[in-house]
Amino acid sequence: MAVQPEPPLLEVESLTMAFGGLVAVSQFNLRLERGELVALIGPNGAGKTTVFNCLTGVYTPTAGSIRLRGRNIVGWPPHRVARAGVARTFQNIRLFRDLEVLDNVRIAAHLRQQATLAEAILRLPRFRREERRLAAEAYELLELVGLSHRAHQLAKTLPYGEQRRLEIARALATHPVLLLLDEPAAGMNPQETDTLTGLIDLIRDRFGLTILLIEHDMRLVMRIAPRILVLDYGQTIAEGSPEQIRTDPRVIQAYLGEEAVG
Amino acid sequence: MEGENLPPASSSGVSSASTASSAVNASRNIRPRLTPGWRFGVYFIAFAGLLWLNVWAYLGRFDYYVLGIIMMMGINTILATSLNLINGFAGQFAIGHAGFMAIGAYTAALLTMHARVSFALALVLGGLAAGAVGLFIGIPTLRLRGDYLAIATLGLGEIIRVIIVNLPITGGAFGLSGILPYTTFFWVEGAVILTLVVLSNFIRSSHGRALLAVREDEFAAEAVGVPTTYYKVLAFVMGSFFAGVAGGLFAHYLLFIDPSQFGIIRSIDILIMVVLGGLGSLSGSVVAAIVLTALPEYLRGFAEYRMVAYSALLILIMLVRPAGLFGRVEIWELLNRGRPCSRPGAGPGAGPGPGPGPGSTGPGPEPRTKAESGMKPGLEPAGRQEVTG
Repeated sequence: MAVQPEPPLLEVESLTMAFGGLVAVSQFNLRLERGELVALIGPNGAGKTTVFNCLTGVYTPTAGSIRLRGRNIVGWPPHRVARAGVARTFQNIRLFRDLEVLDNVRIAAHLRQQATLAEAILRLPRFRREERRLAAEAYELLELVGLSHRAHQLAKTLPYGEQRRLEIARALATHPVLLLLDEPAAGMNPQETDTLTGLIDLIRDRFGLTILLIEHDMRLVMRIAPRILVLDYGQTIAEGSPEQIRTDPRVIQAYLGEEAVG
Repeated sequence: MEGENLPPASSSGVSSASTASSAVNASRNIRPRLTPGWRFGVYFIAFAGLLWLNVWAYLGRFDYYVLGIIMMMGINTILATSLNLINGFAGQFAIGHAGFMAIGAYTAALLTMHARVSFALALVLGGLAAGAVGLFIGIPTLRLRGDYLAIATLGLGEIIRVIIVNLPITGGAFGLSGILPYTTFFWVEGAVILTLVVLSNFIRSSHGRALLAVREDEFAAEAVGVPTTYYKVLAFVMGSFFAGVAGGLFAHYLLFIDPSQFGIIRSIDILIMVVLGGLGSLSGSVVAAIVLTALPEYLRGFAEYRMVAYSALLILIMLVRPAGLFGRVEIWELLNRGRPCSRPGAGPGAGPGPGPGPGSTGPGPEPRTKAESGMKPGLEPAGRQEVTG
C-alpha cells in the first residue's frame, strides 16, 4: 500500500477494432510486464496482426485504451509510437529493398540523431560525429544478427532468412522497450527457425526487451513463450502457459487440431 | 571514443573490442573509392574543364549564343536536380515544377525592377516565395500518391500560371519586359555549385536516408520512427525553393518573361531530364540537363525534323535504359563499380576487416545452413539451453 507500483510496460484494455460491420478484434486485454515474452496465436484472420497495427498506431482502435508505461498512446501516429519505444517486424517482410543493408539499420537509428538539417548540409562536427556513431552502432547490430558481411549489399538481394533477421536488426536500432514480432519464423526451415529462436533469446537477454510475438510455428512458440494468448474471430479464447494452451479444449477445437496434442 | 555511445550490446562484453574496431574500420568503406588512376583522371578532367570554362567566360571568348546555352544548361541543372529531390529521392511523383520556377522568376524580377533589391537577395527571396507556396500546397497534396499527386501538381502549375496572367503587376499575358541583365555565367555557376552541394549533402545524411526510406516503403519508415509527412513536405519545399532560384536566374538572363514560358511544356521538359538522367541520381540529372539543353540546339541542322529527331532520341534512350542513364547510381559509383545495377557489395577484402569474419569461419561440425546464414556461433548454445529449459 505504501509503495505505488510501477505501471506495467504495456496495458491494453478492452481494445476493439471494427472495419465497418466487421469486428476484427473485440474486447482484447493484455498486460505485459517488463521483460516478459508473450505469444499471440490463432488461426488466420483471427485478428492478430490487427492487434499489432493498433498497438503501433497504424490503426486507431474503435474503442479501448493502450497504455505504454502508463501513457495512453491511442491516436498517436506510427512514428511517434516508434519513438516511444515500440518496434515491430512485419508478417510480409517490409525492408527498404533498394537500399544497402547498413542503411536499412541506420535509418532506424535516425530517430536518435540530433544534428539538424543545417548541420548536415554544412557537415558540421556534431553531424560527422553522429554519422560515425550511427554507422558503428548499425555495424554492431548487423554483427549481432550475423549480417555484417552483407552491409553493403542491397537488402533485396539477401536470402529470405537473412531478410527476416535484418528486419529484427532494424527494429532493434530504434532502441525499443517493446518488440512486436509478426510471424518471424514464417517460411523458415527448421534450422533457420532454430537460429531465430536463439536470436530472440539473445536479444531479449541483451537488451532487456519485452516481446510480443505472433507465430504459427507451434514448436517455436511452445519453446520460448511462457505465456500464450489465443485469438479466434477477434475474441480472446484462452490465455495461459504452453501446457494449459495445449490441453485447452477450445483451443484445440479452434486452432491446433488433433495433431498438436502430441 | 566509439565505446561511449554504442548500444547495450557492447556492454555485455562479448567480443566488444573486436566488433567496435571492425565497425570503425568498415565504416571507412561506406564511400567506395575509385582506384587512384581513375580518380586522378576524373578529377583532372573535371577540374581542367571547369577551369577552361571559367577562364573563357571571364575573358568573354564565348559568343553570345554559346554562352546563353551554357547558362541555360546551368539553370536546367538546378531545375532537374531539385525536381529529382522530390521525384527520385523522396519518391513523390510531382510535375508542375515550372510553376515554382515562375514564382521565383516573377518575384525576383519584380524585386530588382521596382524595389531595387540586390540580385543575390532577389534570388533568395524568389526562392523563398516559391518555397512558401510549396509548403502551403505540399501539406494537402502530399497526402495523395502516385497518379493523383502528379495530376494535382500539374494542376497547381497551371493555377500559378493563370494567376500570373491575371495579376496586374506581372504584365499579364503580355509578359514582363525591361528586366535587368544581372545573370552572368558566374552567377549561374555559383548557384549550380551551391545547389549541388546542398542537395548532395542533404541526401548523404541521416535526413536524406529518411527521405529514401519514405521512397522505399512509407509504412515501414513510419514504423521505425520516420515522420514521413515531414520529410515529404521538406523535400517538396526544398525542391520548390531551388526551382524559384532557377526562375530568378532565368528571368535575369532572358530579360523578358511571360506566362507561356512556364507552362506544362516546361514542366514536362524538366521531368524528362530527371527521368532520363535517372530518378535518384543527382549526377544523372546534371548530365541529362546538359545533354537535353544542347541537343535541340545541335539538332537545328535538321530544320523541321528537329523535334522528331529529339523525340526519337528520347524514345531510344528510354528503350535502351529504362531506369535512366544512371539509374539510381551516381557517376563516381558507376566508375568504381562497373556495373550500376548489381552493387556487388564490399567484397571479401573490404568488409569488416579484423573482425572474426562471421559466416565464412563458422566451426566445422555445424550444419551447412547455419554456416551459410552467417549466424555467430555463440548464438547456438543459447537457443539449445532454452529448448531444454
